Amino acid sequence: MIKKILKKMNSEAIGGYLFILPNFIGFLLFTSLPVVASLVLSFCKWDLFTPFPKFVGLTNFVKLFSFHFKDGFIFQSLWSYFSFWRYFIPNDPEFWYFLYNTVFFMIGIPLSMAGSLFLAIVMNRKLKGITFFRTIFFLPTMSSVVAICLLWRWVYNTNYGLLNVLLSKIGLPGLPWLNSTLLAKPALILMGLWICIGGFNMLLYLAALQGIPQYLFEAADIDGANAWQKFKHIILPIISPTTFFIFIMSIISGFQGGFQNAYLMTRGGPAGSTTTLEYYIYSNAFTWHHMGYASAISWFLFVIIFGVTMLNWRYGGQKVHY
Amino acid sequence: MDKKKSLKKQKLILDIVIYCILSIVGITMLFPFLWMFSTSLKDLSQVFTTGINLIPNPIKWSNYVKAWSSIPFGRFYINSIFVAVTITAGQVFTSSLAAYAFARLKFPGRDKLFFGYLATMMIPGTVTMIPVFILMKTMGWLDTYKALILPGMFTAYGTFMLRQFFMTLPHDLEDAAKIDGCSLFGIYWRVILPLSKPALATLATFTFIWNWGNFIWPLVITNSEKMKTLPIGLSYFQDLHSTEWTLLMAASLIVLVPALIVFIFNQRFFTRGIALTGMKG
Amino acid sequence: MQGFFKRMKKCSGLLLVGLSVILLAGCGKKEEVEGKKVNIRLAFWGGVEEKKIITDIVTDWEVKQSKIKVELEHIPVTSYLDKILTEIAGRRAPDVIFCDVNAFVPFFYKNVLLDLTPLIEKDEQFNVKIKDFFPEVLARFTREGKIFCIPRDTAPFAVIYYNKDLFDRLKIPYPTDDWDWDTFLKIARKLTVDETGKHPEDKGFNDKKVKRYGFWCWTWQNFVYSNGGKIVDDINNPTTCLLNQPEAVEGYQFYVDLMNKYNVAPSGDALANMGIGIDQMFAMGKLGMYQSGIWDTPHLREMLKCNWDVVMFPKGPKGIRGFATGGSGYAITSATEHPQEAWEVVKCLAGDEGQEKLADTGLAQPANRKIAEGIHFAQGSAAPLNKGMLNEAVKYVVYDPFHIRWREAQDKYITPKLDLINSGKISVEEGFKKIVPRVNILLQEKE
Repeated sequence: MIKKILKKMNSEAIGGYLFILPNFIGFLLFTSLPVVASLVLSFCKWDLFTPFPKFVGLTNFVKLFSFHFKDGFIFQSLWSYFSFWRYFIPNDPEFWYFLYNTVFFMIGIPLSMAGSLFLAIVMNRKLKGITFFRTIFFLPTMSSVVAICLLWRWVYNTNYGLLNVLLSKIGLPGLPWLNSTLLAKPALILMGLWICIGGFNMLLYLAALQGIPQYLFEAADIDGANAWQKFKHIILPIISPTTFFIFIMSIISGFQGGFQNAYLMTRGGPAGSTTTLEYYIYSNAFTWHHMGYASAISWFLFVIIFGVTMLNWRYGGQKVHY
Repeated sequence: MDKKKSLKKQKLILDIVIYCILSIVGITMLFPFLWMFSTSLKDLSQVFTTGINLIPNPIKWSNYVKAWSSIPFGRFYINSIFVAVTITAGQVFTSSLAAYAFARLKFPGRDKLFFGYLATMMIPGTVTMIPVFILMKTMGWLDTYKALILPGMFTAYGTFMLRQFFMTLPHDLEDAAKIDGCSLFGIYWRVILPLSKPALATLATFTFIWNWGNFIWPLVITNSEKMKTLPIGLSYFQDLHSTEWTLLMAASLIVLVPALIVFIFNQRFFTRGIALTGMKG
Repeated sequence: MQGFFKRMKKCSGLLLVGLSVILLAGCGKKEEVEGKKVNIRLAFWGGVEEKKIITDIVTDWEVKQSKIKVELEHIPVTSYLDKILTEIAGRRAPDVIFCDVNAFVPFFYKNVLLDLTPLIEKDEQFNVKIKDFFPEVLARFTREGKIFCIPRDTAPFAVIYYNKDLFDRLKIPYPTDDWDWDTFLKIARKLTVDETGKHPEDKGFNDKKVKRYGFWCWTWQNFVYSNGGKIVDDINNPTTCLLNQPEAVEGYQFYVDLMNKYNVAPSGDALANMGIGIDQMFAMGKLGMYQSGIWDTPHLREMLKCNWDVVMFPKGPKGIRGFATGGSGYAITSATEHPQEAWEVVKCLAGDEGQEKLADTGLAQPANRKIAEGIHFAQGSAAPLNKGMLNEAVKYVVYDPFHIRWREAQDKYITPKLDLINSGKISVEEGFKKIVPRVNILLQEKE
């Protein structure tokens, strides 16, 4: 085995390891170690107060996934064998609800990616004052979240908010944006879009667009390609590694996100409708003192995100079209 | 000649359309900034009025004086700048090295290792914070710059991002350099890095801005007033039941300025046209 | 390739050296103890003004003695518990911590805090002084006869702020502390008007276009307590949730009716629920009265140009009073290596000067009754003049149930259902019926 590896060790391989080394040492110490610790914790019960976590095996995961039947349900008729899942009640129903919320919030991901790409293409031109626009678009990303959320809370206010005032000007009734279980999620998604559309993702796309050689467009012009064809056959393929990156990062932050905005806007309400898994993890860890359970949820999330990334890795993003 | 003219006309129309789109989006983005600015000049009793009123009356510049004197801004500024700049420099350098290897070199276990990098990002920081804290305590680093800087320096994020960018770069220049006998480090330093200025500038901007605004880690790891950073200072204006909104907005704007400067300064790298055109021609 | 290796070696060598220097530098350093002085770490929260008061008191006191050095660790209140918990988990708890009446519960159960009783008993001076504290407040921090925390302030949510000028203009007599729900509702109705000047009981009143509301409130518990209801059977040792009892349901119904039936209060809005802008609405005369704790006083003093005062939350239909409450104090962590020195620090903080200064700002009602009744609070001439009523209100305070899982029960089961009730999706009875069994399960857990 070692021989085999040594055989493969040409100068490029050694170079590769050396290049990685500085980052890898820090990464091993400050990132991997704590991650492993959290894995250990997911098999433990720990309230943060007692000095040592107590090993409890799979208890946390069992609590997370286990179901029971609704009171009084028995397999009696044939029908009950087909419909028994309706009588399933998860032992932690909040978790499944918050998972649903989290996935719902991810509707924003394709929207924001498309919006960012559109803005990046539009901005990727030599126009007067383009720097000014780019700076403005980045302002929401730079400003303090507390301030941004305060403003949006004001915008969404039922009685005096900007949105309802505008709606009433065009003769539409105002809506209780943050106060309805139905509207609170879309309201937060809209706010999220507004914050991030001109932010990091747009800059990433802009940087990727810089790398497209001009001669490709010139060649396409000669072939008489229209804008859509150029977009589809030149821009999209070349920036696909960036799209892959943005998509994976959005999935990761989508599954792990939503706490800050929800906390500042609605405290996760009304009736838990804007509580995401990150919020639930935080509550479990720091408010209710179930660190082990919080870690177990995190590792469940890990499995989902890992799966999505693998799928993406295999189909799509990895092919470098050039 | 005629074709050129119509092309020019087409371009003009396109430019106008683009300006319109940008302006509409821009206004909504600029609005909160204006609102923050106007709030920072208001009297506390005027912050929340029905509808949104942008013109303060009277204009209270004294809010800025009060905000500035309420927290030790000078010290926090120095800390924040030092921490954010160091992390940014370290991250851009080490990530670009690693990213180059992951994107361009072949070595055993490369993809597995890379996936390991990716995987660590998939665990939320909420549950790794206490282990990192304990690590810092074991090393005796609590309340030091080391604890503020080092955990933020080696993220998988930067490596992943730069790797993806390096992958989009054309191979021809690299091949040419190889034929000329350039070393791997030489290729990284003279070919890859110069071609990736927009990506590097983007990563630098992200890292700086993200660390500039980072709140929870500096809060957990520092104890003394002399080690704290600006975001912690901002939170002083929030009390259990009430918030000094006017002062908070004034302070937020004072804090925003350096991030804005970094962004504007890096702007010229974002779009610097790379001389890729001549490569194949 | 040769060149590359040379360069690479140089480069990575340098980096390695750099890294190990950083690593080693950290390991070699030990926490320094300044001279012979004992270091006591004090963790506390507070806004800009509160922070200054505490810092001044401690630094003044530090000069007067030579044994103890206090390391002040101010933590923003929004993340106070996150940080304290992380430090406890990392076994680096501060020696003295600020602790509120609800965070106290897990701290007590998990043995985070030191029993202060022996320290108090040894201390002749303080042993006398502790009798000046409100017994109801001290009782929260006392378990099985042992005191774990010295209260600093108390905060019954019994305050109703009202705009005197508005009452004068509408020729409504000022409310008095002995008013009841009936009188209260009458006044609230008179204060509420829509854009056409109609009151809620008038025909054609438009509840979508209300110009001024009579009342706003966030402490729903007051309505349950004042109606003779209870949230759990025994606050100090809860085993059963009693929200499904008729008194509790009726009391809450009245609270919901204020918004949805009588239209005298703005319906629960996420923004309003967090209290943001409520003091502004009050200041602009768009709100006649609102309920909260005394802590809004500094803001209102700065903002209000009109006359205003406070009145006690009204009695229930059967003359019963009951208010939810907050408050905080200073405790010593059991992990401290210097309990005696930590105690000296606590005494300095719990001393008269701190409570007096805090009371002067209007932010808090001192836990020391002598100070609360004196010139700094009840007898003080600054608005609100009637704040002395809080010294009476303290007698009727009801703390949150003393149970390790209470916070979880509240966040997970109670608050979400209340959201649905408030928006009229389910009835009070239905909602409370659903809350009770789930809360009861949590109350069975003892860890």
